[in-house]
Amino acid sequence: MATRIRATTEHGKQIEQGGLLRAAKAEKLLEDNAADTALAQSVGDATTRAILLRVLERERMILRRVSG
Amino acid sequence: MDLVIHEASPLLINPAADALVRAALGPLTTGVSLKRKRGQPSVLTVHLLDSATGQDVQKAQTLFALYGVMTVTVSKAAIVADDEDVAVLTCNDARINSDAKVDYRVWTGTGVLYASGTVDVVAGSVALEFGTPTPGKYLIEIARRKGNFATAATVIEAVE
Repeated sequence: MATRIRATTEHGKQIEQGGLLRAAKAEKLLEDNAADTALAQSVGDATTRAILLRVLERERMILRRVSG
Repeated sequence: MDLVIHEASPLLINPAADALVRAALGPLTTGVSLKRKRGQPSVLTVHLLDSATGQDVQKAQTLFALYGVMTVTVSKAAIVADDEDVAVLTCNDARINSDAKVDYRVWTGTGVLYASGTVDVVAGSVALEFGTPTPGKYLIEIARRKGNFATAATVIEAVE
């Protein structure tokens, strides 16, 4: 059974906390993205709808990477 | 005195080497410096206080004459920075066969001490898991707490 290393120093804990906060923010933005995507799908103009959905898809790809 | 030390990452080794040298030599040392030459091993120089006696120098030289680099294996060199993905480091070097515990230290790519602790040696082997939510390079070092001076080190990169 391997021992899990956790940040133990003050600096280390700040670094770890920073990473967790960043992931949490990305999660929140992903939720917003889902709501925006639902709205974009109801846009009447096909060209505008396609552009919006493409931009939102790109945003999701970036956010998924950050949030893990 | 010169000592060839881990080649894992010369950029990361200075603070780690400094800590382990201080642990071994206490107030005798003023620090370490690292000399790099292209295509050659990095050479670590230990600086002793001017007030160090011949006996002190002998002590340091004896320590480093017996210095050993232990082997460490790692399940993967890159992990996802999500706090869930982990790399498993295993050190089962013969030098720690009769040791009860070893120390470990983790340094960030900018030379900040991220974590340190002590871990049990079980049946001559040590296993550590490392995961982090923050991208970057981390140097993980394992060091003997007794007997002849020996360390092992590896670099894990956490990527987005």
